[in-house]
Amino acid sequence: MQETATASPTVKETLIGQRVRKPDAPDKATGKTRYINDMVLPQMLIGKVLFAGRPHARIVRIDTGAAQKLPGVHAVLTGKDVAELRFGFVRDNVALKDKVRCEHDEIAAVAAETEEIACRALELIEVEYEDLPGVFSPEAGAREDAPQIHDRFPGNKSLAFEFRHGDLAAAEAASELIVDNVFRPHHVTHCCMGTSCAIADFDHNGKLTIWTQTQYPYNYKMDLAPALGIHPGDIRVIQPPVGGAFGSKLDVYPYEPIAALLARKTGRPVKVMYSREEEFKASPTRQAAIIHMRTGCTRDGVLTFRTADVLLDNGAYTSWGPTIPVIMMRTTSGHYRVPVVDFKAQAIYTNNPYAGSFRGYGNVQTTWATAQQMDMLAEMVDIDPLEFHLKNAQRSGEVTPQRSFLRECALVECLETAATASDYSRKRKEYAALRDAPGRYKKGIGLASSIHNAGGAKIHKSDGIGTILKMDDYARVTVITGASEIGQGIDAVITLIVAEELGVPLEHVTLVNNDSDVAPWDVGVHASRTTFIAGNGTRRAARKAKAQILNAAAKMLEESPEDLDLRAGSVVRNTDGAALIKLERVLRQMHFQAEPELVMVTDYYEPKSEPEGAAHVSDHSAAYSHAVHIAEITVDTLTGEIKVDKVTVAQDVGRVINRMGLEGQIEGGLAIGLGYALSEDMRIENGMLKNACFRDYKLITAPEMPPLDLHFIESHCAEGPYGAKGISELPTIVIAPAIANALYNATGVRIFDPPMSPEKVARAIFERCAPAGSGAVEPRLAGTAA
Amino acid sequence: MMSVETEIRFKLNGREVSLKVPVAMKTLAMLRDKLGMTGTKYACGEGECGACTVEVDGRTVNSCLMYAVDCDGRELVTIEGLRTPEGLHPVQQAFVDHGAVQCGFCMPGMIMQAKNLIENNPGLTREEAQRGLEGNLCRCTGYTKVLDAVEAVVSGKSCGSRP
Amino acid sequence: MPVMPDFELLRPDSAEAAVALHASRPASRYLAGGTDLLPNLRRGLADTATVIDLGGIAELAGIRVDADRVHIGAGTTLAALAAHPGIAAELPALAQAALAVAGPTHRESATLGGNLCLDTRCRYYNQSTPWREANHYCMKLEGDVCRVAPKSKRCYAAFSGDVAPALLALDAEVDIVGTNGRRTLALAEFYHDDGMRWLALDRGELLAAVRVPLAPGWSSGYEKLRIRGAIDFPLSGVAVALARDGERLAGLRIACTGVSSRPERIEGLDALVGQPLDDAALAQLEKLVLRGIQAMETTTASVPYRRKATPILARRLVTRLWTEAA
Repeated sequence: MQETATASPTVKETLIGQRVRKPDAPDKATGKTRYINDMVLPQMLIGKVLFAGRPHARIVRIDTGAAQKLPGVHAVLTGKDVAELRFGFVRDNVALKDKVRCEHDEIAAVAAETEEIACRALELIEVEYEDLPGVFSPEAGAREDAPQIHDRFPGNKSLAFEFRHGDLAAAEAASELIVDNVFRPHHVTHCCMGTSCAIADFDHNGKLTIWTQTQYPYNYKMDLAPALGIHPGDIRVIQPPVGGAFGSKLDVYPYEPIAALLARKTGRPVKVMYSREEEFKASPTRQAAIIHMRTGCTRDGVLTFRTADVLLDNGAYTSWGPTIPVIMMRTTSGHYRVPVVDFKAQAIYTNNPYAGSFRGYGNVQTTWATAQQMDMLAEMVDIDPLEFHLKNAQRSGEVTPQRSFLRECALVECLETAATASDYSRKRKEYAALRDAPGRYKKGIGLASSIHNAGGAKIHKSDGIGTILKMDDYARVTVITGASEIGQGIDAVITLIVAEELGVPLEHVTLVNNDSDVAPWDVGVHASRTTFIAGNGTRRAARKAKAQILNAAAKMLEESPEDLDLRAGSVVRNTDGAALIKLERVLRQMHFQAEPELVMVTDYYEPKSEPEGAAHVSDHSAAYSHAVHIAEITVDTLTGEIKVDKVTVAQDVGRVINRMGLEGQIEGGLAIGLGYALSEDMRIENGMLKNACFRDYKLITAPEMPPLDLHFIESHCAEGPYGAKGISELPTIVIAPAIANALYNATGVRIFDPPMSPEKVARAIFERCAPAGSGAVEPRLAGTAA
Repeated sequence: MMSVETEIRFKLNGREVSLKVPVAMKTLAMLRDKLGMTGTKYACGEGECGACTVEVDGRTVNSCLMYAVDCDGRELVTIEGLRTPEGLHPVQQAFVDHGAVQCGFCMPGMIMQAKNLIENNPGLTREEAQRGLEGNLCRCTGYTKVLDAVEAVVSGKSCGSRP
Repeated sequence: MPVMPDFELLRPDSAEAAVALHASRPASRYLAGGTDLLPNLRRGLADTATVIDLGGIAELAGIRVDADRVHIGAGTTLAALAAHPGIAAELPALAQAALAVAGPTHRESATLGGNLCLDTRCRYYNQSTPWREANHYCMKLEGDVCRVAPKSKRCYAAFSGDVAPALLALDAEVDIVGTNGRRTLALAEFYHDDGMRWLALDRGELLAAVRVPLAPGWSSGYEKLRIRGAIDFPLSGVAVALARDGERLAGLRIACTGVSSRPERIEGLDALVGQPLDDAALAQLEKLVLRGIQAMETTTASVPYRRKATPILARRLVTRLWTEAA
């Protein structure tokens, strides 16, 4: 456990790497925090949405007459009211639909005085549909005679991506071993504990204030405006505390413009909040995909090429989901030395729910494939997978085919640390040898790794952040920043950095970061970027403030500013740490002297990364990072139940900033990955979700969480704040294939379509052991309980 | 149908309360919508997540599965009732100190359940805590820091984090 | 928050009064812990003008251990049941089954009677009204086709209570109060194999108590297959009561849940009694379990898996109890 450092003016103590509490935790732990879901404004109306409840249909007739007449109803809107207000990346979405393209299409909306009245009004809306044949898989959607979902997108073709590097034919010819599999990562969803919620209010100058859970308040304005037909500059975005986001709030979803449209129509604030069932049906999913991947290597275990042919289930509309190939191709081309790459992806519209971004964006799906193929190839080459990984691992300074520059690369260290800590190689051999021995319960160990951007991802024109830092006469610091807090703990990181730089107590730092009219621009909280980007922005601003203070103090003290430092609330002498003057006195003197000055600095930090670009050849992140997970499991070979006994994690974090927050992000990210691996599954049949509740959609619970052994590798990223890299997505990305590889080690079976549910595992083991048609379980698995 | 309202009296966080509630109203809605006590959270409304956990006569229940009229004559404690004039309840403090709070939305329910478990079993083990918290879903933390916090309360140890 | 239907709430103080109230109100329902009924009301699966809250009836509460039997009021919570030292010691299957239900906070409210009378479940039924409307309803409510067996004349929704199989294996009987007085039924007689009429309760009858005989020399247990460790109905659940006499089986009762419209007591096990529990006996046991269940597509897990896993669960549990009894 980390020792607490006591602030003392004589010793330069650092906060970097310490355990720092989240400043908002006491209010959250006492129920005092007012989440957006808890908010009530005077005169506020409740908005409710009528969903189609069918996957593909023409709307023949809507009659809202009875609903409009219901006492307490203030507005009823349908698609007719908003027909031309299209929004989304490819302008294929609209707040209220003129045609049904998926189960949760919004057909009408009501604003009423109470939720009861709004619900009753929805029941009074009569809609006549003419059901159309649907498309429920990308393969079906790609067929020539497939029903058309959007008139503007013939062949149901949505986005497509391509990246090629090297001579594939030659590489194939040089490959002595090739693995070739089809992986089918499935639909899962974010399950934020606070359901989706927006409150909208127009003032009489036509300016909209929207309280929302968004993760990207600034570009959100640009995306919301077309859905309302107003100027983005006329939108003020306020972000109250939220009950989780995980990527689900990185786009505009129809309930938000619906709240605003209802507010405009009624002249009153309108709140739209989903029930849990609505949340399951109408919020975005993780992108489902069909990945045909091939990887080759030589007899010596040197990778020769990797290809991926990806078909994406676009769903009915285009949000972030179909853009995941941008990240998929980085891992396909850049994880381990892959000299030749051929990647292509095509998204096909279907009548299924549509995907947004979700923690691990694209890389969860790709690593599910790459990490299993690495394991398969190692076995074919007949060397320890660890050795196979090490043989192909990049070192610092290498550049990938897409030009990702791995300046500080700790992949080898991650592999060696995790393998040593878990005794991987010995256990793997031992378990493999016992695979076919009698006994019902089998142990397995599996290794997986991945790479992810760890210094933002320049998919927008800028990946920067604005920061304003001001100090008052009592040396209290306010940081006004574009960095959004969605529970991940940037509040603690910013507080820590300010305290580190300015030598003030942590509790003297206040964060203002939830109002687009106040805080400066930021691209949003996503892509493992916020500690890196906002950390740098904060540090730069704090250093500007520090320089201003030390210059002033030097004048007052007749010292040289280079000899001074800020520690424990005082200006001190660098050499011996002697306190010379209280910081707050310096600030007051600065303020009230003949030529007054206030400490109020601004900074705009733009990371040194290159725009993604259409060719996808660019150093698109300011840093890259690796993680290795080693999962140890026990499998009940008869029921197919997998128990995860332990997970060892080695991750390149650059440098630990807030140790407690870092651990929390890794533990929580891993839990989402465990659910993905083992139990979470949206059961969508003919476009209809069959398990829209927590009882049937199975997040893992406390007893399923295994003990974790976390190892932080500090590669000291030159561009990162204090050397730190972004960390929060890799834990979600790597765990599932680590378990898949452990399952193989234990039982000799592989699952290509997650989750690895008891049913699939039992069936796969049964099929492996029972030759087709025999209908019998082989004796070696039929032994009595161990 | 006309709403049937019933007058009920009960103790809420140590204070006597009396109010009229519709017969179909759940305790969760009464707390949030009638009494403005929004510390107790709605996350599923069907007893599947534990976010609305409160104590009734010393036992923890899902307030979304209990009619408000059933509070009559009982003693309720909600998350707002744990804090004392001296500060946070030791369980709340441990959750803060151990980084168990991220988005925090499930935490009122989680903390109510953890407090109840500890009070009823002063020697609570980590495994017992895992079982005892199995009805409380959390999407942020992976439960690890929650269990650390519970263990710390039971053992009286601190992790040395800074405010 | 979605809206609850409005209704009249009554709180009788005796079982007789409850039954009389029920008889006097055309559309009334009994409410115990509410953990099953409230979600169903909320989803529009149950419709009621009157709710009769059984919480105030003293005789429904409490556990009494006599010399040869245990008497349990139907209003006893599952938490109290699981925590009762006498039950944990004498009737472990019952304690284990009670502990396997949902999560801790549910067990503080949920009652024994409620779990025994649990509504049958199906993935076409346990859905919201708009969902069921969009999926054209099913026979159990508002529709006329059983979606898991479209040609069938009956509904195949599955009984998913955990406690019933334990009590079946323990040979329990139930006390029922009606307008015509009280009657007693073997628990096995309490259930019908029909997803819509799965309880042998006449209109307005109330389950008041359960009596479980104490059988010295018998051991028992309950095991449940589910996708995660909590808040999960069984994909399949198996309870076993077993007596061992040296190397021979002296008695065996098995009951399953989640795999038929009623909790199923497995028939034909008497053939194994008096025999050693060898591989042949275990194979026979698996066959009998498989014959006794009727899993349908009522859950997201498939029929073949539940058919395959249920005998395996039974075998695992029987083997454990047999070994422990040595």
